[in-house]
Amino acid sequence: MYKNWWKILGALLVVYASIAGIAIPLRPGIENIAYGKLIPNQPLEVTVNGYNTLFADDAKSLEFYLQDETQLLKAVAVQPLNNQQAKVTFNLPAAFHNSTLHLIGTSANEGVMSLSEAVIVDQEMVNRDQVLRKDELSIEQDKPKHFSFPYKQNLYETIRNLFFHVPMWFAMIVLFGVSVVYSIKTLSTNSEIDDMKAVQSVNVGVVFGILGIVTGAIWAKFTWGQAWSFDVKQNFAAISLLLYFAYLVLRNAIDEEQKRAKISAIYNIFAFPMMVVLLFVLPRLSDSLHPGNGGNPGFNSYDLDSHMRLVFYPACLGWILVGYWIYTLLFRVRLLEKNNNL
Amino acid sequence: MEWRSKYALNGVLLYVVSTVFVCFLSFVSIDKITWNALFWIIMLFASINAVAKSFLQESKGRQLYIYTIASPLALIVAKTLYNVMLMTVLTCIALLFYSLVFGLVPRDLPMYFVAALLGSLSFSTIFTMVSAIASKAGNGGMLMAVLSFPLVIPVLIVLIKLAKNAIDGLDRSVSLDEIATLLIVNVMAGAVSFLLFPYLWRD
Repeated sequence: MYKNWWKILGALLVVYASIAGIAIPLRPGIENIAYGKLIPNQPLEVTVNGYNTLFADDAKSLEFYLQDETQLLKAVAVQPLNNQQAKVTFNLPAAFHNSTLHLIGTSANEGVMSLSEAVIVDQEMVNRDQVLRKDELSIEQDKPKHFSFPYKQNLYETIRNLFFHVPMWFAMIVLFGVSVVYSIKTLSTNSEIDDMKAVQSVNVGVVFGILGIVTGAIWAKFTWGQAWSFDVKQNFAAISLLLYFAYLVLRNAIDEEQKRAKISAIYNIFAFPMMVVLLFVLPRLSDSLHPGNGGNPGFNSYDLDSHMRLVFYPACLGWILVGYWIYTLLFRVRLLEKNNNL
Repeated sequence: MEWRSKYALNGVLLYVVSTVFVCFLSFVSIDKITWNALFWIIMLFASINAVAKSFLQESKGRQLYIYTIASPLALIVAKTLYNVMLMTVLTCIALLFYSLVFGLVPRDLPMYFVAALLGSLSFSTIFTMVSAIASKAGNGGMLMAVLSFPLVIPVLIVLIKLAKNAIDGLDRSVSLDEIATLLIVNVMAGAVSFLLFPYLWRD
Protein backbone atom coordinates (compact mmCIF):
# COMPACT_ATOMS: atom_id res chain seq x y z
CA MET A 1 0.00 0.00 0.00
CA TYR A 2 2.67 2.50 1.04
CA LYS A 3 4.82 1.45 -1.86
CA ASN A 4 2.05 2.24 -4.31
CA TRP A 5 1.19 5.70 -3.07
CA TRP A 6 2.12 7.29 -6.39
CA LYS A 7 -0.37 5.15 -8.29
CA ILE A 8 -3.16 6.26 -5.99
CA LEU A 9 -1.94 9.84 -6.21
CA GLY A 10 -1.85 9.66 -10.02
CA ALA A 11 -5.33 8.19 -10.29
CA LEU A 12 -6.74 10.72 -7.83
CA LEU A 13 -5.12 13.62 -9.66
CA VAL A 14 -6.46 12.48 -13.01
CA VAL A 15 -9.94 12.05 -11.60
CA TYR A 16 -9.73 15.45 -9.89
CA ALA A 17 -8.44 17.20 -12.99
CA SER A 18 -11.04 15.60 -15.24
CA ILE A 19 -13.96 16.43 -12.99
CA ALA A 20 -12.73 19.91 -12.12
CA GLY A 21 -11.77 20.58 -15.74
CA ILE A 22 -15.25 19.74 -16.96
CA ALA A 23 -17.45 20.89 -14.11
CA ILE A 24 -16.02 24.29 -13.19
CA PRO A 25 -17.93 27.02 -15.02
CA LEU A 26 -16.46 29.68 -17.25
CA ARG A 27 -16.41 33.25 -16.11
CA PRO A 28 -19.19 35.42 -17.54
CA GLY A 29 -18.34 37.04 -20.82
CA ILE A 30 -19.85 39.09 -23.60
CA GLU A 31 -20.47 36.87 -26.59
CA ASN A 32 -21.52 39.42 -29.18
CA ILE A 33 -23.37 42.69 -29.49
CA ALA A 34 -25.67 44.37 -31.97
CA TYR A 35 -25.85 48.13 -32.51
CA GLY A 36 -27.19 50.67 -34.95
CA LYS A 37 -25.43 53.48 -36.77
CA LEU A 38 -23.22 55.76 -34.73
CA ILE A 39 -24.37 59.38 -34.96
CA PRO A 40 -22.41 62.09 -33.12
CA ASN A 41 -24.10 63.53 -30.03
CA GLN A 42 -27.00 61.09 -30.29
CA PRO A 43 -27.85 58.12 -28.06
CA LEU A 44 -26.69 54.71 -29.26
CA GLU A 45 -28.61 51.59 -28.30
CA VAL A 46 -26.58 48.40 -27.98
CA THR A 47 -27.98 44.90 -27.44
CA VAL A 48 -25.48 42.84 -25.47
CA ASN A 49 -25.56 39.04 -25.57
CA GLY A 50 -23.80 37.53 -22.60
CA TYR A 51 -22.47 34.07 -21.93
CA ASN A 52 -22.90 32.57 -18.45
CA THR A 53 -24.09 35.95 -17.29
CA LEU A 54 -26.80 36.92 -14.83
CA PHE A 55 -27.86 40.31 -16.22
CA ALA A 56 -31.37 40.24 -14.76
CA ASP A 57 -30.29 39.05 -11.33
CA ASP A 58 -27.54 41.63 -11.13
CA ALA A 59 -29.58 44.44 -12.64
CA LYS A 60 -28.83 46.89 -9.85
CA SER A 61 -25.07 46.78 -9.96
CA LEU A 62 -24.72 46.23 -13.70
CA GLU A 63 -22.73 48.90 -15.54
CA PHE A 64 -21.37 49.11 -19.06
CA TYR A 65 -18.59 51.21 -20.54
CA LEU A 66 -17.25 51.95 -23.98
CA GLN A 67 -13.51 52.42 -23.93
CA ASP A 68 -10.91 53.77 -26.32
CA GLU A 69 -7.39 54.84 -25.56
CA THR A 70 -8.35 58.15 -24.06
CA GLN A 71 -11.79 57.86 -22.59
CA LEU A 72 -14.24 55.70 -20.75
CA LEU A 73 -17.85 56.32 -21.70
CA LYS A 74 -20.38 55.15 -19.17
CA ALA A 75 -23.76 53.87 -20.29
CA VAL A 76 -26.62 56.12 -19.30
CA ALA A 77 -29.18 53.33 -19.16
CA VAL A 78 -28.90 49.57 -18.67
CA GLN A 79 -32.01 47.49 -19.11
CA PRO A 80 -31.64 43.71 -18.75
CA LEU A 81 -34.08 41.72 -20.90
CA ASN A 82 -33.17 38.43 -19.31
CA ASN A 83 -30.04 36.86 -17.82
CA GLN A 84 -28.33 36.60 -21.19
CA GLN A 85 -29.44 39.81 -22.84
CA ALA A 86 -29.39 43.47 -21.95
CA LYS A 87 -30.22 46.69 -23.75
CA VAL A 88 -27.63 49.36 -23.07
CA THR A 89 -27.80 53.01 -24.09
CA PHE A 90 -24.82 55.33 -24.52
CA ASN A 91 -24.82 59.04 -25.15
CA LEU A 92 -22.23 59.37 -27.87
CA PRO A 93 -19.73 62.25 -27.90
CA ALA A 94 -18.89 64.25 -30.99
CA ALA A 95 -15.91 62.05 -31.80
CA PHE A 96 -13.74 59.21 -30.60
CA HIS A 97 -9.97 59.00 -30.50
CA ASN A 98 -9.78 55.45 -31.94
CA SER A 99 -11.68 53.66 -34.65
CA THR A 100 -12.46 50.63 -32.48
CA LEU A 101 -14.02 50.65 -29.03
CA HIS A 102 -13.94 48.00 -26.35
CA LEU A 103 -17.08 47.15 -24.45
CA ILE A 104 -16.64 46.53 -20.74
CA GLY A 105 -19.26 45.39 -18.30
CA THR A 106 -19.05 45.21 -14.53
CA SER A 107 -21.32 43.89 -11.86
CA ALA A 108 -20.97 43.36 -8.15
CA ASN A 109 -21.39 39.58 -8.25
CA GLU A 110 -19.59 38.70 -11.44
CA GLY A 111 -16.69 41.08 -11.74
CA VAL A 112 -15.44 42.46 -15.03
CA MET A 113 -16.28 41.14 -18.49
CA SER A 114 -15.15 42.66 -21.76
CA LEU A 115 -15.35 42.35 -25.50
CA SER A 116 -12.44 43.90 -27.32
CA GLU A 117 -12.97 45.78 -30.59
CA ALA A 118 -16.71 45.53 -30.05
CA VAL A 119 -17.83 48.72 -31.75
CA ILE A 120 -16.35 50.05 -34.96
CA VAL A 121 -16.45 53.81 -35.41
CA ASP A 122 -16.99 55.37 -38.82
CA GLN A 123 -14.01 57.23 -40.18
CA GLU A 124 -15.82 60.58 -39.98
CA MET A 125 -16.23 60.16 -36.25
CA VAL A 126 -12.55 59.48 -35.52
CA ASN A 127 -10.68 62.49 -34.28
CA ARG A 128 -7.10 62.02 -33.20
CA ASP A 129 -7.11 65.29 -31.25
CA GLN A 130 -9.95 64.09 -29.11
CA VAL A 131 -8.38 63.51 -25.71
CA LEU A 132 -10.74 63.34 -22.80
CA ARG A 133 -10.49 62.60 -19.11
CA LYS A 134 -7.24 60.74 -19.10
CA ASP A 135 -7.40 60.18 -15.37
CA GLU A 136 -10.59 58.12 -15.25
CA LEU A 137 -9.43 55.45 -17.59
CA SER A 138 -8.89 52.29 -15.64
CA ILE A 139 -11.46 49.85 -14.45
CA GLU A 140 -10.09 47.64 -11.72
CA GLN A 141 -9.50 44.11 -12.93
CA ASP A 142 -10.40 42.74 -9.55
CA LYS A 143 -10.25 39.07 -8.63
CA PRO A 144 -12.92 36.77 -10.03
CA LYS A 145 -15.77 36.40 -7.59
CA HIS A 146 -15.89 32.60 -7.62
CA PHE A 147 -13.75 29.69 -8.79
CA SER A 148 -13.96 29.74 -12.56
CA PHE A 149 -12.02 29.61 -15.79
CA PRO A 150 -11.46 32.66 -17.96
CA TYR A 151 -13.77 33.37 -20.85
CA LYS A 152 -11.81 33.75 -24.08
CA GLN A 153 -12.95 34.83 -27.48
CA ASN A 154 -12.99 31.89 -29.93
CA LEU A 155 -11.93 29.41 -27.26
CA TYR A 156 -15.12 29.45 -25.19
CA GLU A 157 -15.67 26.13 -23.44
CA THR A 158 -12.85 24.37 -25.29
CA ILE A 159 -10.39 26.03 -22.94
CA ARG A 160 -11.00 22.92 -20.85
CA ASN A 161 -9.19 20.84 -23.45
CA LEU A 162 -5.98 22.31 -22.05
CA PHE A 163 -6.30 19.89 -19.15
CA PHE A 164 -6.36 16.89 -21.49
CA HIS A 165 -4.40 17.84 -24.61
CA VAL A 166 -1.21 19.21 -23.06
CA PRO A 167 -0.73 16.56 -20.32
CA MET A 168 -0.83 13.85 -23.02
CA TRP A 169 2.34 15.27 -24.56
CA PHE A 170 4.05 15.58 -21.20
CA ALA A 171 3.22 11.97 -20.41
CA MET A 172 4.46 10.87 -23.84
CA ILE A 173 7.77 12.65 -23.46
CA VAL A 174 8.33 11.22 -19.98
CA LEU A 175 7.60 7.71 -21.25
CA PHE A 176 9.97 8.10 -24.20
CA GLY A 177 12.58 9.39 -21.77
CA VAL A 178 12.10 6.28 -19.62
CA SER A 179 12.49 4.18 -22.73
CA VAL A 180 15.79 5.86 -23.64
CA VAL A 181 17.14 5.27 -20.13
CA TYR A 182 16.35 1.57 -20.43
CA SER A 183 17.78 1.44 -23.93
CA ILE A 184 21.07 2.77 -22.61
CA LYS A 185 20.89 0.19 -19.84
CA THR A 186 20.23 -2.52 -22.40
CA LEU A 187 23.43 -1.67 -24.20
CA SER A 188 25.52 -1.90 -21.06
CA THR A 189 23.87 -4.92 -19.42
CA ASN A 190 22.52 -6.85 -22.42
CA SER A 191 19.56 -7.89 -20.31
CA GLU A 192 16.27 -8.83 -21.92
CA ILE A 193 14.28 -7.27 -19.12
CA ASP A 194 15.66 -3.80 -19.76
CA ASP A 195 14.85 -4.22 -23.42
CA MET A 196 11.31 -5.24 -22.58
CA LYS A 197 10.92 -2.16 -20.39
CA ALA A 198 12.14 0.06 -23.22
CA VAL A 199 9.62 -1.39 -25.68
CA GLN A 200 6.67 -1.27 -23.35
CA SER A 201 7.28 2.35 -22.42
CA VAL A 202 7.48 3.23 -26.13
CA ASN A 203 4.19 1.40 -26.68
CA VAL A 204 2.44 3.37 -23.98
CA GLY A 205 4.12 6.60 -25.11
CA VAL A 206 2.87 6.09 -28.67
CA VAL A 207 -0.67 5.62 -27.37
CA PHE A 208 -0.38 8.88 -25.43
CA GLY A 209 1.01 10.59 -28.51
CA ILE A 210 -1.96 9.42 -30.60
CA LEU A 211 -4.34 10.66 -27.89
CA GLY A 212 -2.50 13.98 -27.91
CA ILE A 213 -2.90 14.30 -31.68
CA VAL A 214 -6.58 13.36 -31.53
CA THR A 215 -7.42 15.79 -28.72
CA GLY A 216 -5.43 18.44 -30.56
CA ALA A 217 -7.33 17.76 -33.78
CA ILE A 218 -10.66 18.14 -32.01
CA TRP A 219 -9.51 21.41 -30.51
CA ALA A 220 -8.18 22.61 -33.84
CA LYS A 221 -11.47 21.75 -35.54
CA PHE A 222 -13.23 24.08 -33.14
CA THR A 223 -10.85 27.00 -32.89
CA TRP A 224 -8.94 26.98 -36.18
CA GLY A 225 -11.78 25.55 -38.26
CA GLN A 226 -10.01 22.46 -39.55
CA ALA A 227 -9.01 19.27 -37.79
CA TRP A 228 -5.68 19.23 -39.58
CA SER A 229 -4.60 22.83 -40.01
CA PHE A 230 -1.10 22.07 -41.34
CA ASP A 231 0.30 23.78 -38.34
CA VAL A 232 4.02 23.14 -37.86
CA LYS A 233 3.56 21.60 -34.48
CA GLN A 234 0.90 19.27 -35.75
CA ASN A 235 3.10 18.13 -38.59
CA PHE A 236 6.15 17.66 -36.43
CA ALA A 237 4.19 15.73 -33.82
CA ALA A 238 3.01 13.41 -36.56
CA ILE A 239 6.57 12.96 -37.83
CA SER A 240 7.89 12.22 -34.37
CA LEU A 241 5.23 9.56 -33.98
CA LEU A 242 6.39 8.13 -37.31
CA LEU A 243 9.86 7.96 -35.81
CA TYR A 244 8.61 5.69 -33.08
CA PHE A 245 6.51 3.63 -35.47
CA ALA A 246 9.74 3.07 -37.38
CA TYR A 247 11.27 1.85 -34.13
CA LEU A 248 8.47 -0.68 -33.70
CA VAL A 249 8.80 -1.77 -37.34
CA LEU A 250 12.51 -2.23 -36.85
CA ARG A 251 11.84 -4.51 -33.90
CA ASN A 252 9.49 -6.64 -35.95
CA ALA A 253 12.02 -6.96 -38.73
CA ILE A 254 14.61 -8.74 -36.59
CA ASP A 255 14.03 -12.25 -35.32
CA GLU A 256 17.07 -12.89 -33.18
CA GLU A 257 16.34 -11.60 -29.68
CA GLN A 258 19.78 -10.43 -28.58
CA LYS A 259 20.38 -8.67 -31.85
CA ARG A 260 16.93 -7.10 -31.78
CA ALA A 261 17.48 -5.74 -28.30
CA LYS A 262 20.78 -4.17 -29.24
CA ILE A 263 19.89 -2.70 -32.60
CA SER A 264 16.56 -1.29 -31.52
CA ALA A 265 18.17 0.21 -28.43
CA ILE A 266 20.66 1.99 -30.66
CA TYR A 267 17.91 3.30 -32.93
CA ASN A 268 15.92 4.44 -29.93
CA ILE A 269 18.83 6.45 -28.55
CA PHE A 270 19.36 7.91 -32.02
CA ALA A 271 15.69 8.82 -32.39
CA PHE A 272 15.13 10.51 -29.04
CA PRO A 273 17.27 13.63 -29.63
CA MET A 274 15.66 13.94 -33.06
CA MET A 275 12.25 13.92 -31.44
CA VAL A 276 13.35 16.61 -28.99
CA VAL A 277 14.58 18.72 -31.90
CA LEU A 278 11.31 18.16 -33.74
CA LEU A 279 9.02 19.06 -30.89
CA PHE A 280 10.94 21.79 -29.11
CA VAL A 281 13.49 23.42 -31.41
CA LEU A 282 12.00 23.53 -34.89
CA PRO A 283 8.53 24.92 -34.05
CA ARG A 284 10.24 27.96 -32.53
CA LEU A 285 11.85 28.75 -35.86
CA SER A 286 8.62 29.11 -37.78
CA ASP A 287 5.13 30.46 -37.38
CA SER A 288 2.66 28.30 -35.58
CA LEU A 289 -0.93 28.65 -34.59
CA HIS A 290 -0.08 27.18 -31.22
CA PRO A 291 0.30 29.60 -28.36
CA GLY A 292 3.88 30.38 -27.48
CA ASN A 293 5.25 30.08 -31.04
CA GLY A 294 5.87 32.46 -33.86
CA GLY A 295 4.84 35.57 -32.01
CA ASN A 296 1.70 34.13 -30.45
CA PRO A 297 1.69 34.73 -26.73
CA GLY A 298 2.13 31.60 -24.65
CA PHE A 299 -0.46 30.27 -22.31
CA ASN A 300 1.66 31.39 -19.41
CA SER A 301 1.49 35.06 -20.19
CA TYR A 302 -2.21 35.69 -19.83
CA ASP A 303 -4.37 32.68 -20.49
CA LEU A 304 -3.21 30.50 -17.68
CA ASP A 305 -4.54 32.33 -14.70
CA SER A 306 -4.25 31.17 -11.13
CA HIS A 307 -7.46 29.15 -11.21
CA MET A 308 -6.45 27.25 -14.29
CA ARG A 309 -3.07 26.48 -12.82
CA LEU A 310 -4.75 24.80 -9.87
CA VAL A 311 -6.19 22.25 -12.28
CA PHE A 312 -3.52 22.22 -14.99
CA TYR A 313 -0.48 21.25 -12.91
CA PRO A 314 -2.25 18.40 -11.09
CA ALA A 315 -3.53 17.20 -14.48
CA CYS A 316 0.02 17.04 -15.87
CA LEU A 317 1.41 15.23 -12.87
CA GLY A 318 -1.57 12.90 -12.73
CA TRP A 319 -1.38 11.87 -16.38
CA ILE A 320 2.38 11.33 -16.14
CA LEU A 321 1.95 9.08 -13.12
CA VAL A 322 -0.91 7.16 -14.73
CA GLY A 323 1.10 6.75 -17.93
CA TYR A 324 3.99 5.34 -15.93
CA TRP A 325 1.61 3.05 -14.10
CA ILE A 326 0.14 1.68 -17.34
CA TYR A 327 3.66 1.03 -18.55
CA THR A 328 4.60 -0.96 -15.43
CA LEU A 329 1.40 -3.01 -15.81
CA LEU A 330 2.11 -3.75 -19.47
CA PHE A 331 5.67 -4.67 -18.63
CA ARG A 332 4.57 -7.09 -15.92
CA VAL A 333 2.03 -8.73 -18.24
CA ARG A 334 4.71 -9.23 -20.89
CA LEU A 335 7.09 -10.65 -18.32
CA LEU A 336 4.49 -13.17 -17.11
CA GLU A 337 3.69 -14.16 -20.70
CA LYS A 338 7.35 -14.73 -21.38
CA ASN A 339 7.89 -16.80 -18.26
CA ASN A 340 4.85 -18.89 -19.16
CA ASN A 341 6.28 -19.67 -22.54
CA LEU A 342 9.54 -20.93 -21.13
CA MET B 1 38.83 1.07 -49.62
CA GLU B 2 35.60 2.17 -51.23
CA TRP B 3 37.60 3.50 -54.09
CA ARG B 4 37.60 -0.01 -55.48
CA SER B 5 33.93 0.18 -56.23
CA LYS B 6 34.40 3.12 -58.49
CA TYR B 7 31.67 1.99 -60.79
CA ALA B 8 29.17 2.52 -57.98
CA LEU B 9 30.32 6.09 -57.57
CA ASN B 10 30.00 6.75 -61.25
CA GLY B 11 26.62 5.12 -61.13
CA VAL B 12 25.39 7.55 -58.50
CA LEU B 13 26.79 10.46 -60.45
CA LEU B 14 25.03 9.30 -63.57
CA TYR B 15 21.88 8.85 -61.53
CA VAL B 16 21.96 12.46 -60.38
CA VAL B 17 22.70 13.85 -63.81
CA SER B 18 20.00 11.81 -65.50
CA THR B 19 17.43 12.72 -62.85
CA VAL B 20 18.17 16.37 -63.34
CA PHE B 21 17.82 15.93 -67.06
CA VAL B 22 14.53 14.06 -66.78
CA CYS B 23 13.21 16.79 -64.49
CA PHE B 24 14.27 19.40 -66.99
CA LEU B 25 12.57 17.61 -69.84
CA SER B 26 9.33 17.28 -67.95
CA PHE B 27 9.25 20.75 -66.40
CA VAL B 28 11.14 22.89 -68.95
CA SER B 29 10.33 26.14 -67.16
CA ILE B 30 9.98 26.25 -63.45
CA ASP B 31 9.43 28.72 -60.65
CA LYS B 32 11.76 29.26 -57.72
CA ILE B 33 9.96 27.26 -55.08
CA THR B 34 9.63 24.18 -57.25
CA TRP B 35 13.25 24.58 -58.28
CA ASN B 36 14.32 24.45 -54.67
CA ALA B 37 12.06 21.55 -53.71
CA LEU B 38 13.15 19.54 -56.72
CA PHE B 39 16.80 20.05 -55.93
CA TRP B 40 16.44 18.69 -52.42
CA ILE B 41 14.36 15.73 -53.53
CA ILE B 42 17.02 14.80 -56.05
CA MET B 43 19.74 15.23 -53.44
CA LEU B 44 17.81 13.16 -50.90
CA PHE B 45 17.43 10.15 -53.15
CA ALA B 46 20.91 10.44 -54.54
CA SER B 47 22.37 10.50 -51.05
CA ILE B 48 20.31 7.52 -49.93
CA ASN B 49 21.62 5.62 -52.91
CA ALA B 50 25.17 6.74 -52.39
CA VAL B 51 25.50 6.43 -48.65
CA ALA B 52 23.44 3.29 -48.19
CA LYS B 53 26.13 1.43 -50.04
CA SER B 54 28.64 2.03 -47.29
CA PHE B 55 27.36 -0.78 -45.12
CA LEU B 56 24.62 -2.52 -47.03
CA GLN B 57 26.83 -3.67 -49.84
CA GLU B 58 29.46 -5.42 -47.82
CA SER B 59 29.44 -9.16 -47.49
CA LYS B 60 29.59 -10.99 -44.20
CA GLY B 61 33.13 -12.20 -44.83
CA ARG B 62 34.43 -8.77 -45.63
CA GLN B 63 32.86 -7.31 -42.51
CA LEU B 64 34.63 -9.94 -40.45
CA TYR B 65 37.88 -9.07 -42.16
CA ILE B 66 37.46 -5.39 -41.43
CA TYR B 67 36.49 -6.22 -37.89
CA THR B 68 39.82 -7.94 -37.31
CA ILE B 69 41.96 -5.13 -38.68
CA ALA B 70 40.28 -1.94 -37.50
CA SER B 71 38.68 -0.60 -34.35
CA PRO B 72 34.96 0.24 -34.64
CA LEU B 73 35.54 3.88 -33.82
CA ALA B 74 38.12 4.23 -36.55
CA LEU B 75 35.77 2.50 -38.93
CA ILE B 76 32.76 4.72 -38.31
CA VAL B 77 34.92 7.84 -38.46
CA ALA B 78 36.44 6.69 -41.71
CA LYS B 79 33.09 5.76 -43.21
CA THR B 80 31.48 9.01 -42.17
CA LEU B 81 34.36 11.09 -43.47
CA TYR B 82 34.35 9.20 -46.73
CA ASN B 83 30.62 9.70 -47.09
CA VAL B 84 30.90 13.39 -46.28
CA MET B 85 33.53 13.79 -48.96
CA LEU B 86 31.54 11.79 -51.44
CA MET B 87 28.40 13.77 -50.78
CA THR B 88 30.20 17.09 -50.98
CA VAL B 89 31.60 16.26 -54.39
CA LEU B 90 28.27 14.91 -55.51
CA THR B 91 26.41 17.99 -54.27
CA CYS B 92 28.79 20.36 -56.00
CA ILE B 93 28.46 18.56 -59.30
CA ALA B 94 24.70 18.28 -58.93
CA LEU B 95 24.30 21.94 -58.05
CA LEU B 96 26.47 23.02 -60.93
CA PHE B 97 24.69 20.84 -63.43
CA TYR B 98 21.29 21.67 -62.01
CA SER B 99 21.65 25.43 -62.26
CA LEU B 100 23.26 25.03 -65.66
CA VAL B 101 20.37 23.02 -67.08
CA PHE B 102 17.61 25.10 -65.58
CA GLY B 103 19.42 28.38 -66.13
CA LEU B 104 18.34 29.69 -62.74
CA VAL B 105 20.91 30.92 -60.28
CA PRO B 106 19.97 31.69 -56.66
CA ARG B 107 20.46 35.31 -55.75
CA ASP B 108 22.77 34.56 -52.86
CA LEU B 109 24.85 31.81 -54.44
CA PRO B 110 27.47 31.46 -51.65
CA MET B 111 24.69 31.06 -49.12
CA TYR B 112 22.96 28.44 -51.24
CA PHE B 113 26.27 26.67 -51.55
CA VAL B 114 26.61 26.68 -47.75
CA ALA B 115 23.13 25.24 -47.47
CA ALA B 116 23.97 22.51 -49.96
CA LEU B 117 27.18 21.67 -48.10
CA LEU B 118 25.41 21.53 -44.76
CA GLY B 119 22.78 19.35 -46.36
CA SER B 120 25.30 16.91 -47.71
CA LEU B 121 27.02 16.85 -44.32
CA SER B 122 23.86 16.03 -42.41
CA PHE B 123 22.62 13.51 -44.97
CA SER B 124 25.87 11.65 -44.79
CA THR B 125 26.17 11.55 -40.98
CA ILE B 126 22.59 10.38 -40.51
CA PHE B 127 22.50 7.92 -43.38
CA THR B 128 25.82 6.34 -42.45
CA MET B 129 24.51 5.37 -39.04
CA VAL B 130 21.12 4.29 -40.33
CA SER B 131 22.65 2.16 -43.04
CA ALA B 132 24.80 0.50 -40.39
CA ILE B 133 21.69 -0.27 -38.37
CA ALA B 134 19.79 -1.47 -41.42
CA SER B 135 22.61 -3.71 -42.57
CA LYS B 136 22.83 -5.32 -39.12
CA ALA B 137 19.10 -5.88 -39.12
CA GLY B 138 19.54 -7.79 -42.34
CA ASN B 139 16.52 -6.55 -44.24
CA GLY B 140 18.31 -3.98 -46.42
CA GLY B 141 16.62 -1.41 -48.59
CA MET B 142 13.10 -1.26 -47.24
CA LEU B 143 14.22 -0.87 -43.65
CA MET B 144 16.69 1.80 -44.68
CA ALA B 145 13.87 3.93 -46.07
CA VAL B 146 11.54 3.38 -43.12
CA LEU B 147 14.20 4.22 -40.57
CA SER B 148 15.82 7.15 -42.26
CA PHE B 149 12.88 9.21 -43.52
CA PRO B 150 11.49 10.34 -40.18
CA LEU B 151 15.03 11.11 -39.04
CA VAL B 152 15.83 13.17 -42.10
CA ILE B 153 12.58 15.11 -42.50
CA PRO B 154 13.34 17.70 -39.77
CA VAL B 155 16.77 18.34 -41.26
CA LEU B 156 15.24 18.61 -44.70
CA ILE B 157 12.68 21.16 -43.53
CA VAL B 158 15.37 23.41 -42.09
CA LEU B 159 17.47 22.97 -45.21
CA ILE B 160 14.65 23.92 -47.54
CA LYS B 161 13.97 27.00 -45.49
CA LEU B 162 17.62 28.01 -45.51
CA ALA B 163 17.89 27.41 -49.23
CA LYS B 164 14.73 29.42 -49.83
CA ASN B 165 16.25 32.33 -47.94
CA ALA B 166 19.31 32.09 -50.16
CA ILE B 167 17.24 32.00 -53.36
CA ASP B 168 15.31 35.07 -52.34
CA GLY B 169 18.56 36.79 -51.45
CA LEU B 170 17.45 37.68 -47.95
CA ASP B 171 19.89 39.22 -45.55
CA ARG B 172 22.30 36.62 -44.22
CA SER B 173 21.63 37.30 -40.57
CA VAL B 174 18.12 35.92 -41.12
CA SER B 175 19.52 32.49 -41.87
CA LEU B 176 21.89 32.26 -38.91
CA ASP B 177 19.27 30.49 -36.81
CA GLU B 178 18.86 27.73 -39.36
CA ILE B 179 22.59 27.29 -39.79
CA ALA B 180 23.04 26.96 -36.05
CA THR B 181 20.24 24.41 -35.81
CA LEU B 182 21.72 22.36 -38.62
CA LEU B 183 25.17 22.41 -37.06
CA ILE B 184 23.76 21.34 -33.69
CA VAL B 185 21.80 18.50 -35.29
CA ASN B 186 24.94 17.39 -37.13
CA VAL B 187 27.14 17.46 -34.07
CA MET B 188 24.48 15.58 -32.14
CA ALA B 189 23.98 12.93 -34.80
CA GLY B 190 27.73 12.55 -35.17
CA ALA B 191 28.36 12.25 -31.45
CA VAL B 192 25.56 9.75 -30.92
CA SER B 193 26.68 7.58 -33.80
CA PHE B 194 30.31 7.57 -32.64
CA LEU B 195 29.20 6.58 -29.16
CA LEU B 196 26.80 3.89 -30.30
CA PHE B 197 28.59 2.34 -33.23
CA PRO B 198 30.98 0.20 -31.16
CA TYR B 199 27.96 -1.52 -29.59
CA LEU B 200 26.46 -2.12 -32.97
CA TRP B 201 29.62 -3.48 -34.51
CA ARG B 202 30.38 -6.00 -31.81
CA ASP B 203 28.40 -9.02 -32.88
